[in-house]
Amino acid sequence: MCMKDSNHIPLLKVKSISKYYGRRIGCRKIDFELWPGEVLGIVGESGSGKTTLLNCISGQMEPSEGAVWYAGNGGVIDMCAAPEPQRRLAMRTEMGTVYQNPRDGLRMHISAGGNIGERLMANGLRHYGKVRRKALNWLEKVEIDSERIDDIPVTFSGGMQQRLQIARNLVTNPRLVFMDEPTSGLDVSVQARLLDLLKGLVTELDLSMVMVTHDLAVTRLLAHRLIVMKDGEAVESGLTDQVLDDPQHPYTQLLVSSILHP
Amino acid sequence: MKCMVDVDKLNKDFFLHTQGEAKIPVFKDFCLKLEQGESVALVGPSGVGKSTLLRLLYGNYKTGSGKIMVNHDGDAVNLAGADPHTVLHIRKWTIGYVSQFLRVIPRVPAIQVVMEPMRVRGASEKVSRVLAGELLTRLRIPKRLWSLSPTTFSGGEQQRINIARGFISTYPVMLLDEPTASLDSDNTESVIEIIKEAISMGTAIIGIFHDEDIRNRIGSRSVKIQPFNNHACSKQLIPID
Ligand SMILES: Nc1ncnc2c1ncn2[C@@H]1O[C@H](COP(=O)(O)OP(=O)(O)OP(=O)(O)O)[C@@H](O)[C@H]1O
Ligand SMILES: Nc1ncnc2c1ncn2[C@@H]1O[C@H](COP(=O)(O)OP(=O)(O)OP(=O)(O)O)[C@@H](O)[C@H]1O
Ligand SMILES: [Mg+2]
Ligand SMILES: [Mg+2]
Repeated sequence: MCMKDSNHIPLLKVKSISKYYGRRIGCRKIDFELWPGEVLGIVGESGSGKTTLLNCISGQMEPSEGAVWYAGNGGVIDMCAAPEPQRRLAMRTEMGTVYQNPRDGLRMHISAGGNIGERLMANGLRHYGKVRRKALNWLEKVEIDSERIDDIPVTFSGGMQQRLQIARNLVTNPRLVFMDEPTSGLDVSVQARLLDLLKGLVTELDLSMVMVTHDLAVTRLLAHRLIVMKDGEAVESGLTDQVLDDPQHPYTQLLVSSILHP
Repeated sequence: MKCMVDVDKLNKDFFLHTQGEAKIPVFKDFCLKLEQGESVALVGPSGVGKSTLLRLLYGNYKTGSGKIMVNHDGDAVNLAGADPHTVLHIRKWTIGYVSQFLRVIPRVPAIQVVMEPMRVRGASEKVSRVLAGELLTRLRIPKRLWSLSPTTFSGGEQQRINIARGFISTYPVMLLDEPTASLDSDNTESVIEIIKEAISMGTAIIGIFHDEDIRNRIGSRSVKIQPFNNHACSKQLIPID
């Protein structure tokens, strides 16, 4: 057997990231590493700084302090300090973001096919037939009927919109995907299907993912590692099953004990 | 003989912060060595810490203090305090674990549950499926169940899925938490056979088997875990026989 895995360095190194909104703390001194193929879950109560942290590490918000090293196809760059064009290129070609509200991540008035094709075309694919074929292929992957390719997302259900958002993000084969509560607006059975889909894609495409969620059962299913946040700080972090089965911090214990089967 | 696991002065207390700061001491200065191809059976009364020890060795519980040195592809790695990435790598290649109960993942078919440890090592869908099928057949899981999620399976069926999942890949070290507890005698025989085959191929085993007959047939050295109490100085290993 061969134990040597090909991935020797972390894809993302987050170093002491803090974000202050004036005097209010968004998040404070957060550190972690994310390796290729790993899913990191960020959990914690409302207002604990999860979205702030996600926005800082995904290049969408400038942190007050700290660094985010991304080991992408073009070498290692500091997402907080790299020149704008370099950062934008990495974000457009190697990263994706799935928003809690599909309206933030989709263009609601262009067709499903157009939504999926947009990033492909932005990345240089011009051949209409190829773009359409790829779009069809991805609709199938996310279990949306191919007949809906010319329909606009406002005519889709919430679950379908979320799946379309995923297709739109993954079509360009990103290495790293950020998700902020991707399943929270959906009913339980739709949620289970979406999680199945994500789990399959993570393995199949060797994706890395950072996922904000308030649902510990979701993290048990998907995340390799967890960060538990409270008042802007990471009070506990580690392997998902270890954090859930042997929580150390009083807040984590409270969180875990308040649900039936995490 | 190659030492596979070396537990040195292990300490573990649980602190229940939400229940009046209760402290449950489980291990104090506990030591254990496990060599290649060796089988150790943990014995001791209910609640003494047998399952806890297996979970500590799998990185599922957090070690208080002390070392858990694991021979990971020739490198001595301290599992206690290792970063999650390293623990995952050890679980992928070096340490397998059959928990007492299967944690069912909704919607995933039984055969996929069994195949997964091979798939994460990079084995093809086809090869994994064939091997999973062989194991499931050996463990008498009817073919019509293979494509169903184990959510609705009986306790014994779930346990056999768990065992198949544990043994589909070869690990240098296996942790077994009462793998035969809910099985009938035919299936118990199959499991004993599977365990013995693993040992003969060099796997070292730490297991909890309530049945003395099973311990003997697997050829285990028994290690007794002494109940913790604040008057006795420390928990010790008392080899039986
Ligand atoms: N643009 C902003 N200006 C000022 N304060 C902000 C801003 N955005 C967030 N905050 C504050 O920062 C803290 C963290 O907010 P954040 O949105 O990161 O929380 P969250 O963990 O994502 O919460 P939720 O689960 O409710 O989405 C909160 O106290 C919030 O009020
Ligand atoms: N996650 C946990 N949080 C708090 N306490 C725990 C946890 N896991 C185990 N314990 C405690 O640790 C002690 C040892 O439990 P353990 O399950 O290891 O016993 P055991 O020897 O396997 O018993 P049995 O033979 O009944 O399975 C018990 O007092 C138990 O309550
Ligand atoms: Mg938020
Ligand atoms: Mg037990």
